Amino acid sequence: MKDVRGRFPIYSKLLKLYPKNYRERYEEEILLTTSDMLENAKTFSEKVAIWSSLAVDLPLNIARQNFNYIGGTMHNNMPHYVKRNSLISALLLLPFFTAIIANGLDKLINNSTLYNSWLWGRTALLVWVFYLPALAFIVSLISYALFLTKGESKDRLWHKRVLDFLHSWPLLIVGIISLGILTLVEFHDSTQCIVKSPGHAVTHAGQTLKCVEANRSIIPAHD
Amino acid sequence: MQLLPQLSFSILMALSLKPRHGYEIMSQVKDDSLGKISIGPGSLYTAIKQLSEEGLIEELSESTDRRRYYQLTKKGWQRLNAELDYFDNTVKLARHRKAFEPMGLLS
Repeated sequence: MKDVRGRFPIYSKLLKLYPKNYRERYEEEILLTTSDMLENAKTFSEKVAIWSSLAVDLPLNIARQNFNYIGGTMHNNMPHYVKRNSLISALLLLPFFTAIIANGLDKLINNSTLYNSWLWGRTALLVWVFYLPALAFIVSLISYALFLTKGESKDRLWHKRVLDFLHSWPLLIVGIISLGILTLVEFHDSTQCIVKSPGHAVTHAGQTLKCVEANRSIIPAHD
Repeated sequence: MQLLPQLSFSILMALSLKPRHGYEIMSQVKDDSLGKISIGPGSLYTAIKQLSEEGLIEELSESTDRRRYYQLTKKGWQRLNAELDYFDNTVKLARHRKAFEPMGLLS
């Protein structure tokens, strides 16, 4: 296969972007077929047409195979509790996104907001804006800790499991989103302390902290 | 029965004549479609992988060169026949409804 690779060095390098198992099985065949196509092209313009079609065909199928690979890994090799708990966490975040989208749509369509509705009443607000995202974060955090300590194959070291995003990405994504929501909620009212004058906020860190503290969000401190 | 994607069906059709390697399949598909279906190697092997996983085609064990040859399996033949039956019935139905006449495609 070396000679075929040598004929298309860049194309061969790009084939490395296919998932490993697919590459091992089909890389040589793809190169040989490409070589056949170019050998049978009679004119320069036919060769240009082939390379142009390859420029579309290759990235499209690399993306498709990688999606299949990730999907297959998720379906076959991802621990059941990772899938289940990610789904539970995602469902816990659903009210937050539903409320935000409903409010946005109300603004867009009726030019009003839901700020005076029961959804923005203190108890309901605390539930969808704080308790549910916090619960989602805790569920994903505990599940991720389980994933790190209880890995499927015992011979794998825990620090390798940290980097094993392929089998833990749903948990990480939901965890990061919940943490983002909690941070946003916590500092929602105090962003003005920094955004108004970022330079001043940095040089007068003490004042900034006081301002942030004074404008902490809705969460229990107001009770 | 869910119909096969156009490309998969065309590959099965190309392999119905004889076992072929990748480039031969590609050329046959192009010829069979009168040049309307032109596939790149990426799409070809994505479809070949899918068809192999579904057990509709298989690799020929005695390949003479570095190229791998593919042939229809028994399941592949059955599937191709089922698809052709479906198309045959569709064409018969279209004739019965005289669906071709306005455009003069078939007499």
